[in-house]
Amino acid sequence: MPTSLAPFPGFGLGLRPPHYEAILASPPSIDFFEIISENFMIDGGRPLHVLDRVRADYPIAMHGVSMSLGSPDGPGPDYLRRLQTLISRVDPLWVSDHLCWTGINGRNSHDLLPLPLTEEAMATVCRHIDRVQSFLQRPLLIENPSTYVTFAEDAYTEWGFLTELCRRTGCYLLLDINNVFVSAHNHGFSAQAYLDGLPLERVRQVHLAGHSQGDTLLIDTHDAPVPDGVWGLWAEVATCLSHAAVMIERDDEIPPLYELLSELDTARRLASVGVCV
Amino acid sequence: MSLVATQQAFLGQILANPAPTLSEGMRVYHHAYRARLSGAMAETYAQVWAWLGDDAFHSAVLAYIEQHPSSQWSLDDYGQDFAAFLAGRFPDDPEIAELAWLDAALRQAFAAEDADLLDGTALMQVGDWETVRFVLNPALRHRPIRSNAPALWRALSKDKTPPEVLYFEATSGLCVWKTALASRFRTLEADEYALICALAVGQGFAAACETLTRDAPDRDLTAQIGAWLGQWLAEGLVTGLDATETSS
Repeated sequence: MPTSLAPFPGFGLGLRPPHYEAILASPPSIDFFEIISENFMIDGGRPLHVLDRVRADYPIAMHGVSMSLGSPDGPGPDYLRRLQTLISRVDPLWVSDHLCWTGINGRNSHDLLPLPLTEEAMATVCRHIDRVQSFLQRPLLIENPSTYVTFAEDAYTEWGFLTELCRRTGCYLLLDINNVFVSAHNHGFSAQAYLDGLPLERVRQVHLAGHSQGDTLLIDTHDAPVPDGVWGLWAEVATCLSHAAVMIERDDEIPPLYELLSELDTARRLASVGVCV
Repeated sequence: MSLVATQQAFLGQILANPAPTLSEGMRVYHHAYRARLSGAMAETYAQVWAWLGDDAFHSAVLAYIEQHPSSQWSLDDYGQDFAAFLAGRFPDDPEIAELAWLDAALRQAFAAEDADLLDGTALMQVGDWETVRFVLNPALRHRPIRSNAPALWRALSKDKTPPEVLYFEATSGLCVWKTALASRFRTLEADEYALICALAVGQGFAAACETLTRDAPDRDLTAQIGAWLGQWLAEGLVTGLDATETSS
């Protein structure tokens, strides 16, 4: 299995249905698109037709939400077969999923549920990453989730857990700056300490997104523009991630394409100033 | 506590209804589970929603969610039993379950395998009509219906006032399939639907026709069957011939 994954520095967007027509009519000047893998793990239909046309002009990153690497069973054979079929069709830059679990004992929450950051969880996630990487014959990117609870038995910080995952499995990272911001607020840790603690050289992709305000917690809703706090965090770390593929992630209340392109311009501008120290 | 025990307890709190006393963080997960599933069902069952109205639809969806925990990784696959659930919830209003079936079937057909139309001249290659089998559109879904749910669906989907609900003595068939990346549907009268059902389970064309004509000895269906076959080819309901049964 290839153990290294070449960087792809650039700026991109998620490929979402409300933008299909605009993208096909006037392909935007961006470097890549990201797809939600599960939306295209189907037998036919217009989404695959659009995907093929977009792929002809752009590199594609595949991003999944259902691998459930932190559950005892991990991804099932049907899921992996369908994922491999899509990989063969797309020839993606890379394949990513989350540090989370989505269900147990045949029940699925369809959510990115938080893991207790224990040695047992580490062993479970490593076992599944090893299995998936071997099956797909490529390294995975693992994304840090937004979380709303922590566990008394946590033995790692989240950044320490991700660092150790990279060391043990050779996986890479998809760094979601908004998720760092949200979880730092929710759990009272320093976002800067989180970023300082990560092996940034393992980051291949960055998500920039918005969130919403709960009673006291921040909620990762992907339904709003990137807020100032997330831009600030991105500005601090951007120059150290000049090797990464950066995108605006928007999944709900999706605005016209030009608004996201404008946000992407902001991401580019912030990345062009400063020095990585 | 082991990882499994922690996760079982965690998911148990999410699935619990009514919600136990939870921290703000757990309330986020408890709410998100129902919001995500009900959002997916609202997207799939748009015309059922329009027919029932906000209160009755959301009440039915929430009741369904509590009785049907999700068991598959694909969110698109959630809610497959909603039509049967509605049939039990509204036993005197079969059009509701039929609308739900149509909503779901159109969505399934949309993501099903694509197929090209079969050129009508392909029939000229049939060497032995006694053994030929027709390949039906891979997106085909069908069921018997008792109401004018298809007419209701068409009106609702165009934001028009739906016609009066009608119930029929004779069962007809509702077929959903896909051509040129677009899902479509049509109501089939009993004889045509019986023939399609026979072909759908793999019966040879001649044998299926023989069964149909045997069941209707007082009618000569030959010309009618020929007309149906031409229509099926034109509208993409039939997309292939079993190659082993045709001449070269």
